[in-house]
Amino acid sequence: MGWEQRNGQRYYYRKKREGGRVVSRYMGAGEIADLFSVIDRDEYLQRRWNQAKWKMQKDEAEKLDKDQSSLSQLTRHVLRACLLVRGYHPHKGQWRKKANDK
Amino acid sequence: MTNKDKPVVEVNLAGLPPDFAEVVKRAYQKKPNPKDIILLQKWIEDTPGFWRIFFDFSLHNQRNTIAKIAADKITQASITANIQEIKQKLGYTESAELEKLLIENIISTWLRFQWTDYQLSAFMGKDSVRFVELEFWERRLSMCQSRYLRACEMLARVRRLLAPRPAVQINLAAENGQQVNIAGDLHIEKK
Repeated sequence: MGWEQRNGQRYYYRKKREGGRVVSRYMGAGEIADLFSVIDRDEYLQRRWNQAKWKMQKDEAEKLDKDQSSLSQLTRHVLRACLLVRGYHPHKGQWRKKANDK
Repeated sequence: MTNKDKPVVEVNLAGLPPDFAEVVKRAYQKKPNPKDIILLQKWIEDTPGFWRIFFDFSLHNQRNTIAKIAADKITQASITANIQEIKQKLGYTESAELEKLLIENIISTWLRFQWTDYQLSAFMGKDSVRFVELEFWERRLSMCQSRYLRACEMLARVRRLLAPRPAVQINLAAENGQQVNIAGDLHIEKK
């Protein structure tokens, strides 16, 4: 990930996007660099896991929303059908019944 | 097998006339074609298991949400008992089919609201909260709340419209030729 090889020696850099460009920060070489590398890898995997979990939760919520929306729509259709059959009609967002329609 | 792994059961709406929604849309206007109203009446009266189709769909939706809220049977049973209590308070047993369907809709939206509220609460307790996720759950919670309130409003409106109550208006003469009109119904609240 952030390893770079110069003159046969491996150096570890942390790369970060700042203001539309990638900025490299030197972290070291040898054992300390290995340690930083492991920490960064672990954080990266954690981020990926969180992203996947978030996507799953989001998909699940959207699926439930879709089901609920279908049910609400269907209920509205049935309600309208029943009221229309009973002689009501919509008038400016309200249900009205003709005075002589008992 | 956990509840999350269970396959989603597809609800069969096949018993419903295919253009039901279309005819309702056509008939839902100030001066509808009487043929459409007759057709709707025929469907409501003659379609075998007309109400059952909607109740099944509603029940399926509720079961799905309960399974999402809680994986263990005890919590599920407790939620189901809570639902029965709400139904009883809303007078489910003595209600007509349409009102029953509207009560089922209230239950479904209420469950969905509870689930979303729970998700948001669990999310707020985390160490790090991403703004995008927080915004997502807050938006959903607000949507669920609106749906729930609309469902309650729907039942209230229908009960008011279809209740066999004699309407009454009292006109009282006031000073200076003014008149006070009081309109309402003769419904007496049961204590």
